[in-house]
Amino acid sequence: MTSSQRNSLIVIAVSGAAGYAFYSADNFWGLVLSGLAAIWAVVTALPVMDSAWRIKVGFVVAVFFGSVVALLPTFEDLSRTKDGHARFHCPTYVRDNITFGVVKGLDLQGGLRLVYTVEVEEALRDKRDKFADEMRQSLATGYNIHTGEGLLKQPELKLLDEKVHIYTPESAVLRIKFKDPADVKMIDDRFQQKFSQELARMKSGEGEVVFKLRAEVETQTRERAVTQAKDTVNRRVDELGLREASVTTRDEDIIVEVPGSNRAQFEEIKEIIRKTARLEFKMVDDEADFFGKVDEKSVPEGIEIRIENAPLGEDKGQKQNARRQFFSIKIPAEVDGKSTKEDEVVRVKAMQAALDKLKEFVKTLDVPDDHTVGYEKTEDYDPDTGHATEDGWRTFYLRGRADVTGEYITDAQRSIDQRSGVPEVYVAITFSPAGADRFEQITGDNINRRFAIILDDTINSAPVIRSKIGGGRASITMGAGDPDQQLKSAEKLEMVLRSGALPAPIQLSNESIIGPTLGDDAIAKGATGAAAGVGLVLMFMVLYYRGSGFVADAAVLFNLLLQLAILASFSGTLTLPGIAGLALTVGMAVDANVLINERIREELRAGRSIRAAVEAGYDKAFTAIVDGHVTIFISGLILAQYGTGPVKGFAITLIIGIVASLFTSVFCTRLVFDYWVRGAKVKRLSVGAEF
Amino acid sequence: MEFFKSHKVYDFMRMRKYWIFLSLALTVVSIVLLYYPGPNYGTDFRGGTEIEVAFLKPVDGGKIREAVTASGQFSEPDVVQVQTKDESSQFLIRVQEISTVDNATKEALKKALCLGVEGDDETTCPKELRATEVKFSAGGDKLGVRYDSDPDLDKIKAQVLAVPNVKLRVSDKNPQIVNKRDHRVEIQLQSKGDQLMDVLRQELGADVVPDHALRVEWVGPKAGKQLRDSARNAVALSIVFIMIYLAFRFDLRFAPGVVLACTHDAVVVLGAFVVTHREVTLSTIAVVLTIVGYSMNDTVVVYDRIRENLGKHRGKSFGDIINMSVSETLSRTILTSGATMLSVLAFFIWGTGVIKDFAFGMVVGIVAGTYSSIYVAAPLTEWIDKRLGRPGSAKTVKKRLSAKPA
Repeated sequence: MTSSQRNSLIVIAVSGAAGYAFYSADNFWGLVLSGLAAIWAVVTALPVMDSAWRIKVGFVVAVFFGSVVALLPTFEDLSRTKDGHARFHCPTYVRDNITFGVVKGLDLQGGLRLVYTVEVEEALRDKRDKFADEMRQSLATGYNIHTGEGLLKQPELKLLDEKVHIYTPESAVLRIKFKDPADVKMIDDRFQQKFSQELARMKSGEGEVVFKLRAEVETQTRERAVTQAKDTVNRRVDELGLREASVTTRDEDIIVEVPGSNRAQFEEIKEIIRKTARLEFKMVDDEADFFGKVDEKSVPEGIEIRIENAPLGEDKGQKQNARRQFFSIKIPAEVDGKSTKEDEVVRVKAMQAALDKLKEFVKTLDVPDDHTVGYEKTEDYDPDTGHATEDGWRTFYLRGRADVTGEYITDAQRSIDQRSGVPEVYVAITFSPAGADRFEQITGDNINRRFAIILDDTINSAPVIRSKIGGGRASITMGAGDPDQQLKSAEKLEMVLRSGALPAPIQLSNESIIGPTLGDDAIAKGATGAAAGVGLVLMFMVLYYRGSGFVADAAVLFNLLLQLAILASFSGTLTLPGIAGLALTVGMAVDANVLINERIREELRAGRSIRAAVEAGYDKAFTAIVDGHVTIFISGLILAQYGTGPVKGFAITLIIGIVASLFTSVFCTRLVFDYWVRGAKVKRLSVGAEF
Repeated sequence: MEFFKSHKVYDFMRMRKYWIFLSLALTVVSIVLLYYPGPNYGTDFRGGTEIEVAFLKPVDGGKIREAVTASGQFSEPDVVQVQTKDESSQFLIRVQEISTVDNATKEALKKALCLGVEGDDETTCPKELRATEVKFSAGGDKLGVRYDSDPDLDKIKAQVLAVPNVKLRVSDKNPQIVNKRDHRVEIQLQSKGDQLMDVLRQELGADVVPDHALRVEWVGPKAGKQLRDSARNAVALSIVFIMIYLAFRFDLRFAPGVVLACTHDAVVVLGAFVVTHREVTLSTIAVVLTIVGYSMNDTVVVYDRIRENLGKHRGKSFGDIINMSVSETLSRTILTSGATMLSVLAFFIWGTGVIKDFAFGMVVGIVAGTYSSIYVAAPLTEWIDKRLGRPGSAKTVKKRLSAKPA
């Protein structure tokens, strides 16, 4: 027994023991690795050739088995017929432990197709509100209420409202109504010139002027809303790591197509896309006791009138407070107070129903068009468990205009606050410099007032401003629920805030599962073509090169296996362009063997010994092979870096294939030739020609 | 088995003038074709008409494709099955034809819909029927019309039908209010989608094809200019890096040949697509990328031999060395391209639609890629060599000597 064989026996023993340990510890990958190590060691211990050769062969064999194991689940998936029946069955133990696999792309497999309609009206309203703001400021300056610098303050707004009011009856219309008809002269040429680019002056009545967004501005705003929404959806899909999903637009629709059949993934995608992530900060208007003026008799059963001590800002440094009414609704007691998962679904439904009821009631109130009503979840805190659960909704009376919006956000980061003992998850947001200034001014002007942070139309929280907040930071708390759940929703919020808010909400208008875009029939025929093509090439190689042809064929097949295994290991998507990349590298692998074999023939022709011919053949062919491979590898890298969509899919399989090709068609085949020459000491090399 | 006997050196370069002329002609013609008439971009790039049909009886996707193509009125369609809960035969059918409504009709429609009419005269245009915006879809067959209040749909219908040469698509919801909040009405005119339905009915029978399609839409391009540009830029950038690599591995004289050969092949393949009226789709980009890769490898193999022979035979002319190198690698070249061609031909024979076009591009590309290594890359390298002088050749040695200070 040689020393290397002794070493292998030790490795076999050790990896066997390790394998058993991993198996009992239920560590799948440990088991696989020790199994591969054992295989390697067994080959190394065989009594053939020299130890360097055995080590290499052992490595190749281990790689082969590793690839096979990694591909088992993929084989099962690929062998599945249309009705879902698999012709090849992967052991469940392996299936449960290998979570990755090659995913067929939308062109080969089909997938989910979502059609969203962009509610461009919202974007128009945003634009209109911006103009209303600018007009108010301009008018306030004209009335000498305001200096013309910075934003309007709350008392200034109040003063202005006594003289002029801007109504917004429609999404693209602004109606300026003056208390004193004579004041219409305030809308002079200078005023109009400021807005003439975007607004057109319409027919006006007594004491009022009507402006409307110009048609081209309106069209442009709509179009921009759609493109921006598309870009945002694209970014979100990207963040989920779905390279092959496609996002396209059609009129005011956005179409998202996601390959595969993974239902859980589809749900996740839908949830992420749906999140508008419209973040707004609006002032709570507690000065006007709006809810207090509602007739108590009109309040339906189930909605309670509650009273709170509301902060009213400061007067000469003195904090003012007053009792104010608001409405609240509770979900039924039998739903509340439970905490299993199924109950959670019931609770979500009950919360939605309660919110709908409350909204229905608020609709009957005559809310002025410069104000809105916001809703916040109320929580039931259980002092025994330290847990808070959602148990209903309450109303806030808000100013309609958003003071700061998500546009000003540059970063979002989730973190956990442990200070209070109960871990509290929140997302810290950072504003851009302009947003930070705005935020600082607004908080400075509104000390001891409430500020509502609104995310996707519900109020996240409405804290009282204690002091001016500088530095451009704010945070959004995740509220009630178990910490894991909170972390998950924080993660999603972070993702959508970073990918940018949708400029306008989108509405899912159609959802369907579609078949492969290439068509089943085309794919079936293509598969026949592929099989025939590969078969022809393999046959040709054997006919031409005989024994060496077999070696080359084995290398090509091994190359395919290895490529798929690597692609599977990061759950790559296989599309038609990807298959083109695969085909090119298979061609490269064939070419490499042709180059080697031709060189060996040439050397034999020149009268060299078999051993010398093989040696020289590999050496001389190697430079050409390496240069060819490196060239294509470089182009693969660049295409993967700068390409998009199909180009990227092509490049990724190309890169994988090139590396695999060098390994199989140079390294692996050489081992067989070495065996023939040095181990079997053949008298004639089977390269398909006699010399 | 052997195809070529050894030691024979074929004189490739003797005929190069003709071949270079042929290459030039092919390239110029291809480039011209790319501008006039220009590539026939498929729905991927151009968009088109999409209809969704729930067939009354089970139909095979291939049948639909055949039916649409057989009519001769439409391009090769994309046929995608939609999986429904009740297992019915529902398909999305996309063709690149779009309906075109001419400008005169568009203006007439706008006028009929009272776009922008002001004043109190209500004889022809009652106030509630005055459109504030009329937007045509890219094809022109779908109108989005906005009003200040919810209008009377029947009256709108009458307004539209009064315009000559305009027919409404038959459907129970046409015109239709699509957005209550901003009073948007959608009007669908008879379009390519209806023609497509007629063709299907003719070919597949009225018992299979329903009266109405579920939807008729104009669809936007999946991939636009952006993708095309990014593909082109990525290829250009990778070529730059490859030049740098080759300049290091070989020397500077070799790099331009590879680039020219790749460009030649890519252009010729695209030109072949234009000549044969094949659609340029996303897959065509993949074809071009593959051909560029194939061509590079092929050229590098020939270069490798030239490099080797340059070292071995110092006295010979560059032309002789090219002849020798090409001859020596000829059997490899024929074998590799033959083998690849075999597999691609199988695709070409058995494939349909996109896959057939794909295989077609590959067939052309492999021929071009093999040929360009010999007659584009090598001659260019020779030419550059003549201009710059070869290190070690008599001329350069003399030059160097004279450059040295005595």
